[in-house]
Amino acid sequence: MKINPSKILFALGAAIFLIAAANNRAQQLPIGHATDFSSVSYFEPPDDQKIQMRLSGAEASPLPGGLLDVKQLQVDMFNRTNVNAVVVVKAPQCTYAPLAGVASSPGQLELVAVDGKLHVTGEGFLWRQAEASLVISNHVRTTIAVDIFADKKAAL
Amino acid sequence: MKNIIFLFLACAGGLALAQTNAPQAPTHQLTEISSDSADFDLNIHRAIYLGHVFVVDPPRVTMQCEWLRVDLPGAGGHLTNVVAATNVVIDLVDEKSGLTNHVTSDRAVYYYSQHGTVTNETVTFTGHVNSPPKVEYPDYTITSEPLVWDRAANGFHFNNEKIIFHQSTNSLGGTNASPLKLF
Repeated sequence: MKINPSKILFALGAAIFLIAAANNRAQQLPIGHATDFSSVSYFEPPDDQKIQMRLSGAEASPLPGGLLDVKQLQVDMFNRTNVNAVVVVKAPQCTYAPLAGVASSPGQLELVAVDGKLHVTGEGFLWRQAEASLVISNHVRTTIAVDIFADKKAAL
Repeated sequence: MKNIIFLFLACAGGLALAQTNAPQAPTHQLTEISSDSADFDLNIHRAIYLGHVFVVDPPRVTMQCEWLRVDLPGAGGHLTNVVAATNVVIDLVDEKSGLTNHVTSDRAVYYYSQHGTVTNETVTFTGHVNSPPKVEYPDYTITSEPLVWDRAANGFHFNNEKIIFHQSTNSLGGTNASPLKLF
């Protein structure tokens, strides 16, 4: 049996590509000090190819107990139909527990709906990734933009 | 010829400037909510506000309460369900008279729906036996259980209402009467 070297190279390349792709789909969490890290979660099947949420930070430093000190936290939330984020949550600093999927901070937080219809600010928060739940502890201010022509559009 | 082209371009530029500077009618109305704390469930687009909740819904409504649940608007762009509870106080400015109606209740439920050309937009106020909802006018107060404000029709609906007239200062002998003495 004659082995073609080009076929071996192709198979090797494909294997490397598949391993790299599999690694990209897993959550990437920094072990030491990291910059520009992100952690991605996907929708349940059949939409398991679509990103549900991306948590990212400009810097992450390890803390005792498996926690991370994250600077410039950003949480992008998607829905099943949109490629772009529909809700963005930002905080200058937070403590993130990767295993529990919980982020918290006594500091400022801002939540914005990308369509511009919702804007929330507050101080002190707890974010639970699995439940998409956000508790803001103090000084909550919300602005909701209501489409004043919604009645007319619906009637048309 | 160059002058003509220049004039044409200048006119076109002026028109464009005029268009960009023209005041545009707002397409959105901003409702503001402030509170001590809040819980957001981003899966079901629901927010619960707790403690010293204050709502400004211009140009006609301000509200205070201790607990507020808001179903955040989706693609339709309109709030559809809002529930306020505990020491609910709402000031509604009457569209026609410009007077402020002061409403107090235990609970208020805002409901909005649109079916074809028919819009239903109501706020239903409820209380309890000893403290039914009430709307206060300058000269009288009406209690009713429930008390419904039909926002689309701009009026109140009452059920077994009681009207309490306020005693005017004139009944004590006119504005020049001396104040009552207790001792």
